[in-house]
Amino acid sequence: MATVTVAPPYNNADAQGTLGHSYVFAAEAIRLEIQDKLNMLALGVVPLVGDLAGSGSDTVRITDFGGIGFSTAMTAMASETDTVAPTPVDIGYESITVAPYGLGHAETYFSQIIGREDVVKVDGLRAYIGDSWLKTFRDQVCVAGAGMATDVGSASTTLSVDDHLDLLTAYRTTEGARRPTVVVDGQQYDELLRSYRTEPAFGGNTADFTSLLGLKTEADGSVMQVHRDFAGMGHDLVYTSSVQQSGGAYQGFAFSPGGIGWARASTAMARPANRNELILVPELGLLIEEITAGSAQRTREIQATAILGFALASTRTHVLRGFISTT
Amino acid sequence: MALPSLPRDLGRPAAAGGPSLAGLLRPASLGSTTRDGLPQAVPNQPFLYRHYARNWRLSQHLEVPVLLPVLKKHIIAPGVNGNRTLRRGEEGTPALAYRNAVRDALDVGWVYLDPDRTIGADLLPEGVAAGPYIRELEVQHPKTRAAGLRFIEAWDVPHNGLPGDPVRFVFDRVTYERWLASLLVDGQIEPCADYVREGHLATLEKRVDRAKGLPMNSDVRDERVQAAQEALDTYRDALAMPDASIVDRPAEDASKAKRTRRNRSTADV
Repeated sequence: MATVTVAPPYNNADAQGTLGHSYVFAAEAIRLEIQDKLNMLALGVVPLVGDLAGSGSDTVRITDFGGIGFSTAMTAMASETDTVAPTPVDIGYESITVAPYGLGHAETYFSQIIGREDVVKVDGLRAYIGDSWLKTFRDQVCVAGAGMATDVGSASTTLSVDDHLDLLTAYRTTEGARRPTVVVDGQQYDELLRSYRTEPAFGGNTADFTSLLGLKTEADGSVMQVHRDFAGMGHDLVYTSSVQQSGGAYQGFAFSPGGIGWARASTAMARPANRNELILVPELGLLIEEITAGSAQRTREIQATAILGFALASTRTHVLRGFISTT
Repeated sequence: MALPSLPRDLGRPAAAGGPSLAGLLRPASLGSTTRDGLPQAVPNQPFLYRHYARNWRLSQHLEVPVLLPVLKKHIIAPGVNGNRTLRRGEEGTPALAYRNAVRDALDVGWVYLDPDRTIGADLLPEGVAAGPYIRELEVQHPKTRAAGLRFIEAWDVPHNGLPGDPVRFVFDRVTYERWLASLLVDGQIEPCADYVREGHLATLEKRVDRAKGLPMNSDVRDERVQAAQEALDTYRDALAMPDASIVDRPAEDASKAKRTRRNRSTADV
């Protein structure tokens, strides 16, 4: 390396290139980017309806029946001797088909040895696969929700209090309906809040105004995405960037618990070739394994596989509504 | 191994009197493209357009108000709503993955639009060639850098943004509404049934009634009542079956239409 002569006055600019660093790392831990961390599984409104491990099929059928009990009244007999005609029973079903999902991380031995940040090495990245599973769960619930047949709101206008009241009407006027959870995009949520701002109920009432329109945060300081009993209107509302779009409109949706269900294939009986470093999470239909194919190229790779399925429940048993607004 | 050559890009500033490194300068790009030339966007799954008879939207950009069908995507995501993964040997017939799901949806009243049908360029945004309603864009995932396909609606036009940002998609509502009107004109979708329109009108009437009862300054309330009443009247008078000339007429100024990207609801007056 060539020698550098540093002329007086000795200054850092001349010496740094030879004796110092152009930068040093901050003492704090590596930062994680901003992420949509909504955990839809934890809401408890998308139940597991089946485990297909060992079943011989990739499809689980959820049956329903009706036309009896509270749906059918007794008939007054015209005379004392009239015969009673037996009544029919309605039966039906919906299905959930599971599919494989995959995610992998890989690194070279060189990177493994030289690298400075353990959290971005394969062993560190493995810890985040569970979060990826939750994002997959959330994304596919939103894809399923985008398939609801009957909409409330308009594809041409922003979300408003009137749309919100129309959604509640759907549940109020369907006797037997259960309390819904509403899922919208963050933009829809903000538009709905702004519409509430114009409601005269908030006129001069700072406490109510701020309780609804103020920024709410979780204990860790992150902005809250789950709003229990939103605006005191009797249902929970959550917002996420996973909500789909179609025809220039956000495809938010509302469903009673069980209105969207999921199925899995438990991985408890999985027998991958490499049993070392194998992680099985049967309750999530997830397995994480290390594959050895890359060792000839001095690489190490882990691979996660999940077997999941999602589908809407029958409209005979649940009230399902699209909650749409323009993008 | 090929003979090594002296590296040309040393990445250091030119020393005084040293060779000029002007050749290191590259034209600045304001695009979102990656070094591979692929736009940055998240890959997704293909879809089919479908319509359910209860869902209608009031046109915003046609010559006269028309009740247009709301189209929703049947997203072909394996493991969701009856779509399945293709089995080995089925790669040549991708429709097998969603055939059962489509059949079940048809049974409950959904109407599917043919993805192979060609839409003329006059019903598409400027610069988009004639073709189907679904287009694919080769993209690179902005986080994982994995190459993939992003399936978009033909009216969702990609635009470059700031360097490093994902591609922006701007939805052309003007030509989209004209195409929706054409679906009614050529009979691909039946016009809005009277009983469905009556249901929507009842909802809008409730909004007028609610606006009338709002405890607020009378001038402000009157504005909201008027807005709600206009929305009701427009919906009542909207055409269920537009004239074919509505489809053929040139779209209104597209740039103006895009600036009205987000139409405020009547409750926000």
